Amino acid sequence: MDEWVVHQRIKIPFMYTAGRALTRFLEGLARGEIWATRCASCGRVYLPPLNFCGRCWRGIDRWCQLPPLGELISYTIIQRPLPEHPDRSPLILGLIRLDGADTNLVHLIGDVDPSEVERVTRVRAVWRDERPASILAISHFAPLT
Amino acid sequence: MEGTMTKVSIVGVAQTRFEERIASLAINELVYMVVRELLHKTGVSMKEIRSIVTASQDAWDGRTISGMTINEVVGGYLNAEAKVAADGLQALLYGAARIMSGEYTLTLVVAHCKESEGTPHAITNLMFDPFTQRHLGLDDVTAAALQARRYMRLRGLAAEDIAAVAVKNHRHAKKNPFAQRAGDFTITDVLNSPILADPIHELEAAPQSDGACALLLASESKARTVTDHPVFIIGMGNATDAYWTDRELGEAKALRQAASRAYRMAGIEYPAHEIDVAEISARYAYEELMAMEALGLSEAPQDMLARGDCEIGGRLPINPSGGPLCGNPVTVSGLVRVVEAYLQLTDQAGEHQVHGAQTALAHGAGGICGQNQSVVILRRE
Ligand SMILES: [Zn+2]
Repeated sequence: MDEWVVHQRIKIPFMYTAGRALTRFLEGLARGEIWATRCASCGRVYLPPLNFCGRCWRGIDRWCQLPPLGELISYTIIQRPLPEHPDRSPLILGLIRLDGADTNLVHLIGDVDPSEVERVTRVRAVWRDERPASILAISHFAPLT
Repeated sequence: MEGTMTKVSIVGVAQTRFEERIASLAINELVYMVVRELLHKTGVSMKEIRSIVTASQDAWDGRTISGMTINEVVGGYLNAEAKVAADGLQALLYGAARIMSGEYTLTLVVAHCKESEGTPHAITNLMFDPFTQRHLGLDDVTAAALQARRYMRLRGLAAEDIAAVAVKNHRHAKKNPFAQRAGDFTITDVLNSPILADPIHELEAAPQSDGACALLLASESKARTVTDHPVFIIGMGNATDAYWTDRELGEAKALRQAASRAYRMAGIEYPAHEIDVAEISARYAYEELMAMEALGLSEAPQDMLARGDCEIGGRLPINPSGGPLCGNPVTVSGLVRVVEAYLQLTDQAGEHQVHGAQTALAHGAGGICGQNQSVVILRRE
């Protein structure tokens, strides 16, 4: 017996409210600046910024600007084409700890051959010429040479 | 367990075979099948069951309020039915709390997922922060790959150390009739299997799975009327970590917490010596080593594995069923670990039986890179 299936595509337009902390972060990116918050109690620097520290359970109102430089903590090479990047394969995604931050940022790693990325320890943000108020204002992170 | 709270026991279990695609059954039919088998095995009638906790995920079921897909077949009609949208082990914790309260003598716990119906990349991409992460194309396996490399770097592990987990589990799975993927793979076979997201290979990741499982919890006095061989839940613990980009990804801090809570409740001081068998929710091979460390079962899990201690017949068999690498519907993952632990403690595990097992550990995890962790300790009489 052939079993039937019913094909459907779920598509739900959505509008996510950025809120106060992320609005300031996203506006900074559009200017080519990276802004983080620092918990006054434990000193933890959050990037992307949060206006509260879950560890101390208190609000945060201190901001600090971070340099577009950091350490490549981990990476993965993806050979299959991803729908988000149909024309970029293979693709390298990296976990980046910006200097001065205590949390990690995820971004594309570029300007390096996948076979060489294992040797990369320091990276820098490569900004787009036209910067949206989005994490995509940074095109990718590249090895710091 | 302290004070006057009711002791919780498991009096029966059922699971479907895990398959890449179960095309002939709709979700409610699949769950009906497994619940019917459970009731048949225990001899308990649905009329006696007033409390039901299920686990399923809206995004994977392709509909919100996913618990309503199966409400009728789990006996939810006018009963105390509740759903957790998390790993199935969370449903067990919820169900156990109902028995402990003394208000219910029986609680049915069920988990299901048909991963074949949806689009894994799109569904798991929805877990990620929509502001700064989702548009990068992250999904479950890419985040796991970032964690795997971080963990391997921190511990100085080689690709072969991770592949050895997959070799052991697929060999165990040959003895488990419910397993979806099994075989005598070598380390070279594992490392030659396609790379899903470097450093994770296909044989080091749980396959796409359809399936369901169910178990019946009972108060001690009720359990005595259902079975001569109840298995008792003597310890439970869970813990939730910070978001995956807000923590040291190479450490499983939340699992350490969850385990210490479960061990304290169970009165276990030396888990490596007091646990006889462990079923670990390692959906990726590296997670099994991370979990063995965090559970206090070994400080150098790769060495313990290489010595053969984790084999069936070894000092501390880990995932004698083959574990999630051999079949792992999302949300069923943690609950079926308990099902397997129960089979071990009632000498019903067949070819993958760990002889003489008295105390078993079942582990469940959910969220990105194991943000949420649960541990249950079970003991036979
Ligand atoms: Zn703080």
